[in-house]
This record gives sequence, C-alpha cells and structure tokens, in this order.
Amino acid sequence: MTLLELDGLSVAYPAGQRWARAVRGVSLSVAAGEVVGLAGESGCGKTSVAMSVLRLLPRTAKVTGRIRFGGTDLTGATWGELRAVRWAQAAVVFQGAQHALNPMHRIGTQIAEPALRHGLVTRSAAAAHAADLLQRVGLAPELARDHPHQLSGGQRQRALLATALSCSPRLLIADEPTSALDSVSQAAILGLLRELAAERGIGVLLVSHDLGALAAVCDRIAVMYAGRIVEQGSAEAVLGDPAHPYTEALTGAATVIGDPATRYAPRSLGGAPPDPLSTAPGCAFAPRCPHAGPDCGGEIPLRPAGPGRLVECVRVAS
Amino acid sequence: MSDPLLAACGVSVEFPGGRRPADGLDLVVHPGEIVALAGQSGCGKTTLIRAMLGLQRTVSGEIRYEGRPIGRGRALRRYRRHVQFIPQDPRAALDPRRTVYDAVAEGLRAHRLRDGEYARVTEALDLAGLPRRLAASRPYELSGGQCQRVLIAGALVLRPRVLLADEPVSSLDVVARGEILALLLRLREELGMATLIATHDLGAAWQIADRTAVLHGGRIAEDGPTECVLTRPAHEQTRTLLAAHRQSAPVHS
Repeated sequence: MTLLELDGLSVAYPAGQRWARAVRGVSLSVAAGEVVGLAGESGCGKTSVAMSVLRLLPRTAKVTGRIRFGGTDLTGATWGELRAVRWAQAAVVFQGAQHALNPMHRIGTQIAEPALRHGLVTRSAAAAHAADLLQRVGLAPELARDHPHQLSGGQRQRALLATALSCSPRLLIADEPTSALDSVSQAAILGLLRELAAERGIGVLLVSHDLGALAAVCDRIAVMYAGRIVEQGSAEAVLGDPAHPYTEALTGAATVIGDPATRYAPRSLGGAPPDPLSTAPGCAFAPRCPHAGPDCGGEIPLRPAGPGRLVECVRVAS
Repeated sequence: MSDPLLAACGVSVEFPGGRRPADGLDLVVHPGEIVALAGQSGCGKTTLIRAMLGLQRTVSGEIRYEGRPIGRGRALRRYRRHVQFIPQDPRAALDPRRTVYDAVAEGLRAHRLRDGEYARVTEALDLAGLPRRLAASRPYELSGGQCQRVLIAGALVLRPRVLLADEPVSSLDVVARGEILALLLRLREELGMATLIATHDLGAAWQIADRTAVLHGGRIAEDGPTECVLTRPAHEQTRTLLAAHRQSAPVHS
C-alpha cells in the first residue's frame, strides 16, 4: 500500500528578484513497511523534499506539484489538517540530535509530549508511555529522568527516534539521522529503522549523503542531483550496478579496506554542483561527467532501465 | 626512522568523578607522517587531541614537541604556531558574520604577525584549494567542503608542521570527504605536513594514513602500519570497528 506519493514536486526559494530552484520535478513514493533512501551531496535538495511533506519549509518557499499521503492530498491542506497528520500519521526525525532536543526538559517529558498533545495518552500514563518507547529504541527506561546533556550522541539520536514514535506514526521521515554518529552507533540506529519497517509496517523515508548507511537498510534508493532524481530503483541494482554516471561516482567514492587501488587514493569528483539559480537546459551533471557528449545539452528524459528502475541519462538506451 | 616531531608520553587525563578518558597514552607523530587515531565516540580521541594542543590538563605524562615538553605560557604560545587544530563541524567553527579572509587571517592576528598579511592569506587560500574570489564570502554562502577548506587555510596561514584534525570529514558528504582527504595528502607531498587525524571512519584511515592507532577506553589498543592494523587486526576493538565499517559499505558487484 502506498503511503506517500510525490508527483512532480518542485520547491523554489526566493533569491533577490529570482528563484533558486532547489527541487525540480521530483516523483517518488514510499509504501508501508518500505525503507526508501534519498541520497545526494549536500545542497542537492534532498532535505527540501523531505521537509515539504509536512510543510516544514520556510514560509517563503514556493512548493508546486502534488504531495499525497495515505490517499489524502496534502498540497492544499489547511494548517489544521496538517497538524492532525504531523506526529500522529507522519513524524520527522531531525538532523543533528545534538540540537533537536530541548536541553531544559527531561528526556521522558519530551518523548511523551507529542502523544499528550494529540490526546493519545493521559497525563498519568505519560511516564509509562515514555518508558515503553525508550525500551523500544533500546534505551534503559531510567534515562527518562535525564536531561539531554547527560546522554551520548547515539543515545540522544535514539531518544529523538522515540519521540518520533510517540504517536505511532505510519511514516517516518529521517533526515541524516546517523551522520553525526560513530559507525557502531550508526549501525544500531539503522538496524532499528529496518526493524520498525519490517515488524510494524512503518514506511521510512531515509535522507542521507552516506550511501553506505542507505545500502545497509533501504529497499529502494533514489539518487538526487541538483534538484532532480537522476536514478531510482532497488538498492541492490542502484548501488551494485549504477546506471547514472553520478551514482557511479558516488559508489566509487566508497572505500574498500584492503583494496590496494583505494590506498592513498581518496576519490573525488572534481568541479562543483551547478548554481541553483541556473535555468540552463540539459543534464545538470554534464559539466562534471566523464562521459558527457553533445547530446547532454538537450532535454533528458527519465528512462526505464529494468524493473522498477528509472534513470535520467542519454547513455541509457530507451 | 627520524625522531618524533610530536609525542604523547604516558598521558593521563582525569575528569571530575574519576573517569579517565586518557589513561597512560603513548602516541608519536613523525615529520611528514599521517597518523590516524581511530575509535568509537567517547573513546578519548578528542581529549587526547586537546591534551596535545595544551588545552587539557594532564594528571600524568607529558606532551613533547621536538623532544621537549610543550611547557606553558610563552613557550606554549610559540608551540601553537607549529601545531594547528582542525575541528569537526566546519560550519559551527566559523563565525557566520566574518568573511573568509578574516577567518583565515585570524591566526596571524592572534600571533601578532602583521607583515604581509594579504600575501600570507592568499597563499593559504591557494594551498587549501579555495578560489581567491571567495575571500569576501561569508560561511553561509559556502558548501560544507568549502567551509572545511577555510578552516584548513586558517591553519596553514601560520605555516605549521603538524595538523591535528578532529573528525575533519565526518560531517561531509562523500564527494567533499574525498576532496578534503586528497587535500591532506597533497599538503604532505607539497609541504611535508604531518597530520594526526582522529576519526571513527576506518575508510579514511585506509585512504590516507601511514599508521593507525586504535584507541579504546582511554588506552591505545593497537598501533602499527595501516596495512597491518586494518587487514590483520590484533585487537578486539579494531575488529569491532572493521565490522561496523563493512556493514556500512555499499554492496559492490
């Protein structure tokens, strides 16, 4: 069952007299029980996509296209309607657990707050609710009495996840939930997301610049470049046999320890992503692409390349 | 091998409450050597780096630069021209209101080196691979990778011999990460720069470090050539970190 459906989504921010087009026509869906990864460099528009779902963007942002959640069109939803969806139906795990928790309040209070606000638990049952959620994310219930500064980075990220689970949402939107953590805590958090999808049927939209993290948990992966999804498909297909030169460059950047070819040889792309103000036609990746040719300046269609796989590149035979 | 340039000798640090994030640590960095200090968060990497910068009081042991204790007061001040720090989160480390030029010139001003400021700053920008036209930009106009280059330029402006980098690439995306690691390698080639890089990312150690020291519970669990430590780990903690790295590596056909 499709939970979230984005259709031709575009997001633009005012930049003086012009518009910076951060997202340029993105179509993507997340089904119940599915973990979908959204990958790309910083500035590619992935956070704008994630935050547009619950309209958590700055007021000046111009959003076009359609956002459907559980069959309801959220594009024209009123603030009241959105409030009912936030937390209860779809919750966000924000980037940077260091700053997303309120330093003045106890962990337990913050975890129970969304459920209290939405009238799902009573004040007397709040403590038990928080303890239950802490256990579900693998933390000791006693931590409920602590303040954020008393927790490690990994513990705080788990606490933040517990907060997002407070109202038993059907969709989790996690924006770089592990990028500030060491690899051991990272693996634990990713395992937890996988478990929530498999056992509770929660749909997860996982935004990350870290392809390794996405590979570990995602069913499907969409790769974004300069506001467009340039490739999407099953995680194995996209990472194991990348069809778009940009995906190829991203996967090539991963290190295999023990491989002499990567020793003393950190890979980099060279060049920089295009100016978001640019309205130049054609493939945005062409200036950095090792395979770029004369055809890349024209209209680039999104082409199917195998089951459930779409690639935006002239090199893919239609 | 040559004499160590920078050495931690039996360094212990004690926090209030008795916890010891460093407990008799020995670590050396030779001239022109890139050393990775690997370990999970909370293992004491940052504390050791702070101690090596003379920012953290030690309860025993000492930090030596060119064989002599780094001392205090004016001696410590002189020492800090030779050893420069690169922090983890470049965006948080830069003052959002100041231009790239001022951020890079800060070290010169702090050390009252007034001669040829403009020439030194532009040279540092060139070395760090930043276009000179960005000198008037402010941090919010730059990407994460560019911000990290500004901090590296700010370190290079004093012509140090050692860089102490605390997780310099962990907040960057894969592309920027590769560029910064390549920059650290190039600084060693061109300037003979020694670097101690604290990281939880063994991939980064494999890509640039001559030697890898694994830190665990305030002690060095294992220390040796990167090829040996990462392909034939002798300590349990190294194996744990390697397993976590493998789990997070994309599948490859």
